[in-house]
Amino acid sequence: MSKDLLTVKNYSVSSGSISAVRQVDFKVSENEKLGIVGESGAGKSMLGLSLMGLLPFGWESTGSAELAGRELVSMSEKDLVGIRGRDISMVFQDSLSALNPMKKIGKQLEFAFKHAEVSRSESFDEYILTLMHSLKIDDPELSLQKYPHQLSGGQRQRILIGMAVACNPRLIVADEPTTSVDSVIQRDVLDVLISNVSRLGASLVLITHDLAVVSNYCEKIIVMYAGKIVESGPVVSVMGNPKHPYTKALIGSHISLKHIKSGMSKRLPVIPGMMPAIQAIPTGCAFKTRCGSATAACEVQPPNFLVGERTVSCWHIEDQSE
Amino acid sequence: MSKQDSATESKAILIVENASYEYRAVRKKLISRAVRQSALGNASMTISSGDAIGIVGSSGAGKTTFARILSGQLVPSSGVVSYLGTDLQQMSNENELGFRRGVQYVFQNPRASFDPRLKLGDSLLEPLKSLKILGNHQNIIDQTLIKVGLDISMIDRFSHELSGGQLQRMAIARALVVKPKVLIADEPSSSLDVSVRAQILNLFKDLTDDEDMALILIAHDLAAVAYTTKQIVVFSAGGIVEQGSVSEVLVAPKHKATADLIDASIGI
Amino acid sequence: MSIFLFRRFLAFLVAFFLTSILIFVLVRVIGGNPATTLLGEYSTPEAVREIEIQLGLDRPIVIQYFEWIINLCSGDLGTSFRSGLEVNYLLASAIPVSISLSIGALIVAVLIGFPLGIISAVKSYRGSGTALDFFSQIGVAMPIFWSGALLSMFFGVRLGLLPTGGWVGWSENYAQSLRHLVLPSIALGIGIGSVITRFVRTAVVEVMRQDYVRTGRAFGMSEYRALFSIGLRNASLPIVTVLGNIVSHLVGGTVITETLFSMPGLSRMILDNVISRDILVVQNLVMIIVVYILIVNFIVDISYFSLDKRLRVK
Ligand SMILES: Nc1ncnc2c1ncn2[C@@H]1O[C@H](COP(=O)(O)OP(=O)(O)OP(=O)(O)O)[C@@H](O)[C@H]1O
Ligand code: SF4
Ligand SMILES: [Mg+2]
Repeated sequence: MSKDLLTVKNYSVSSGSISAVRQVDFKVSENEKLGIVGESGAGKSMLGLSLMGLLPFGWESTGSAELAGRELVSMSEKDLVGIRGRDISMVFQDSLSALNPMKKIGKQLEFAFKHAEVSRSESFDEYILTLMHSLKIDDPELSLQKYPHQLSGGQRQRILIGMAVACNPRLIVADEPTTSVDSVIQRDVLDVLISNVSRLGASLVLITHDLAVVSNYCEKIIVMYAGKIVESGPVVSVMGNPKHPYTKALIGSHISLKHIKSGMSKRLPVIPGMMPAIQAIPTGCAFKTRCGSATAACEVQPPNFLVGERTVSCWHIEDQSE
Repeated sequence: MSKQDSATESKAILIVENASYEYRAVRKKLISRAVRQSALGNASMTISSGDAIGIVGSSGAGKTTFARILSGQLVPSSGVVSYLGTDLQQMSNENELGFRRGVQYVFQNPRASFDPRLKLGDSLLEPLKSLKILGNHQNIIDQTLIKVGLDISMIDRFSHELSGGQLQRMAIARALVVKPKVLIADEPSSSLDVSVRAQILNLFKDLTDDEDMALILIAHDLAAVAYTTKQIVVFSAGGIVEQGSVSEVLVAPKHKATADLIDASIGI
Repeated sequence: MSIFLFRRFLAFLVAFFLTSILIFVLVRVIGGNPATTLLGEYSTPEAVREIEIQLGLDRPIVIQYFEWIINLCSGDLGTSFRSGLEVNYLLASAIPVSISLSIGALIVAVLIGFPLGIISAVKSYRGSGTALDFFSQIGVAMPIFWSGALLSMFFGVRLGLLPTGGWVGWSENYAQSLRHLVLPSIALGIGIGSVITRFVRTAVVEVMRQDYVRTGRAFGMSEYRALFSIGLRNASLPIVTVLGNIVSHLVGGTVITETLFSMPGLSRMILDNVISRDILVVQNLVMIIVVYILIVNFIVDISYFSLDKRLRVK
């Protein structure tokens, strides 16, 4: 087992009395790819932003998040500036608004590169061509001279990935890197992301609401619901044999061609109701209002039970097998 | 839909023949110059009642342009669209009212398609009034809401008081109240969450059972379309490159664009 | 670029002719017969007739208009009827005064406006602080004659530090010119500075709220670096577009300020000629101000164009 890069313990993200992330614990090892899934509003983005120290005004994180031995929670803004980009960096969702419309792509990449202060044998001009090649951008010289709106969505998203990897970070947080592009381009973008992560020997936290993305690209998965981690563990076991009723329901409502080809007219099961807003999270298990297995016991918050290599936060885990 | 036998011909509602469209992007500020960009070339399709057609293709393939031509929002640069045998461009006022009633459209973003100041009941009443539909409007609305799985009491709420999924149902209900002959939905589920998306797709799947109405579902997600509809039309680079029943297209794709879509549709 | 310039220039010409026609017609409609007005109570039909011939007012109105435009363009602004001096000669002493005041006020306004705008933006995108905003509201609302009077009372009368009015030419004694410029420039600059503060603030807040600022910071830009290299730069575009607006504030304010501090500038000259009812001279002077504003707007357009590089990429 490789070394832990990020260790998050009893970690919350709150603004006053409301919390978007509630007491989560997880680890990311070196070279590991972790996927975080959940419905809209589950707190995935807030978790990602908080690790970068880029929370919106009025929000703060508590608990502990150690990145390579350094505590992020109490870190000063000055120190955060030092680690952003170099130790931890982020790929954002909406590539058009995430890039400066007034600066050429080349200049924006250059900043990310120059910031790194890593002693490198190559100059920016040499480096950039290698980078553009790894981003699978044809005609790099021309593309570098363009402004963001002159590129396609997929190209822009790959440029954002380029910026995120330019400083050789050890951890990359990618927040829905492909939600704004269509399914054909999605694969190109993800392939570029993964190959760059491997090239750097970095770790990846991939935030998405698409289970298929996680099951194809990640080794570990975290399922979030209303700010909590309800199930986490190796992708193979969680996706192959989900234990938490929410994970089961999510997987059940996923449409994939495989299923269609096999049982053409089978109706998709759906999860009734909707996730509570963070201002109105019920006590006990937050999923109880939509859960078919809920009982009186669920009025109390279930702890994270260990089942083999995974954690499951539910009172009624049907079978304990892996 | 593409069959030429007289039986289907007689039920044909909407026919598009060789429609092309060019967007004219006028660059302001600098030099006003019209840049022509071909978005659609020579697309033809016949839509008959009971059809459930899924339109797929990557972004920029011309799906939305085609849908907007179908619904009369865009006039094709060349080609003809006819509704119940009449060319849209040569319609009498009376026929046009019939067309506007007969072809309904559901947009991608339900939030943007409701007036936030109106109660939802009033939003639903609006098409009934403007299209001069006879009958007990309240009854029609109630029945439609039940059909899409919404509580009747929702008519007293405002759009911001509904979740994305509920609001998309409301948008579908608004399209259905006038009993259209063709319902066109452009990416109706892609702004929604996984679990909610399944609900909406199930609803559309139910609607395909209606033999009096044709459903056109547009999405870039092949799986969503394949799950919901009976036939698939693949768009690529501004044209129709392949069409057929869902199983035909999925099992034996003929065009590279189709194969790419199938390939890109990663499963769990 | 050249086509863009050409188009702007055409627009400039159109605006020039439209306003000149407007002024010409207004002067005739409201002012009546310039000759009669000029003579005032002494007007007799014969005297009026004589003046009309002398000033060319007996000719068809369209001819009069074109003659006026041609004269304007060739730099002939006519003669002041009262003093018998050429308007050009009078302008040569008035314009430096007005320009000095405008530049002085602009310097004060920029010195106040940009720092305050930026500080207030930083406070507000962090979610706090409206005190500065409040002061800039006061600054905008405070009339120049009031702030000007307060300033001259305190620094001029009470402390006796600075002259409260009048003017000394630059060529005579530039130190004195500067001293005379201080209070009027501040009086006029405060109001314009507050306008700038608010524009800068809104523009910077808007930019700092954008996702791409967060992207910059995610790759290690400090907040201040982001403010200066992204925030201000991208905000410069909306700020430039309101410069025209600021210039009209400036021109309007100059009139009041010159009067308040008895400065012999362009507006004083206009007022003098209004009082002496020399309508044709007034007409020329107003046209000069119009041309000035048009030129400034022309420059604003061009700088907008050169700042927004995206417009230049085909
Ligand atoms: N800037 C903000 N100010 C206040 N509340 C916010 C802000 N951003 C997010 N929230 C709230 O925090 C909670 C978690 O939101 P978050 O964006 O982390 O969800 P998410 O899992 O990323 O959802 P999505 O899939 O839609 O991106 C939500 O209830 C949201 O309303
Ligand atoms: S704890 Fe209870 S309510 Fe929560 S998921 Fe388990 S069974 Fe359902
Ligand atoms: Mg998010």
